[in-house]
Amino acid sequence: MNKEYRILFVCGNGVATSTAAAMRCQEYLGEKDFVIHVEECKVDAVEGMAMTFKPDVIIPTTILPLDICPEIKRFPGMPFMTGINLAKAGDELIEYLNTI
Amino acid sequence: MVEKDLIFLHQKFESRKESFVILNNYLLEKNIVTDDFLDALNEREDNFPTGLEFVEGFGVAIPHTESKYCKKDTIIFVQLDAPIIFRDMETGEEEINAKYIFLLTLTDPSGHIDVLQNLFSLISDKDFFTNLPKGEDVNLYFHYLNSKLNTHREN
Repeated sequence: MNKEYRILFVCGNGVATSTAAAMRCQEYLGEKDFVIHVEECKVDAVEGMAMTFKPDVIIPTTILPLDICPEIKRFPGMPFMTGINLAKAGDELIEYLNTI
Repeated sequence: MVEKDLIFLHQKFESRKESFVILNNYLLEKNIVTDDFLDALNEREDNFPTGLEFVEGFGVAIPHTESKYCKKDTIIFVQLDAPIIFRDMETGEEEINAKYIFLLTLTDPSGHIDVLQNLFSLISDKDFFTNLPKGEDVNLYFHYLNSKLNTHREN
């Protein structure tokens, strides 16, 4: 059975960039048979979401101060938002997910 | 989401703030945004900047607000004769000389995910910028932008 993972996408106001990034990430990992649950939120909601959604990974498309949830692994959002270097970023994410 | 009367060519603004004021006035007149859109836009841009430069020499900004300040889903395209400084979206520090603004008003981003994904891909595509129409004809830009933004993605 495939393990399931939770990824939190974070943007400045919870619309647009994180939605686009979440969709592209889900598509890419879905093709590799990963089951991914995504949520999106604004920067000021990350700590709350960390408690309720319990993400395995955080992917910001904006500035997310390093002292917010430092215990949760982060990956850059731009590749998922724009598609630039998507395969590289997607494979690095997969590599990490496989270790947890 | 692109409309002919939401394409602004050869614009000159003194600053980012001035561009927002003038664009906001127009959007208010067209009933596309709420009265507090301008404040929300500035606050967002101050705290979470939206400048991006993936193709050297083709900086862009994609300012937007939360959905509650928008009444209609549109992409406003602004071509700047003199670049405006925005800060970089990812680092918040680097200065981006934006030559183009794609101002987004979104009541429902998830309803336009294909167009948004296309837009975010296009701003990293050199061909998109070098093939942009030249001159004053809004119709050419309208058709070009629509065809690029509504292209079905293969991946």
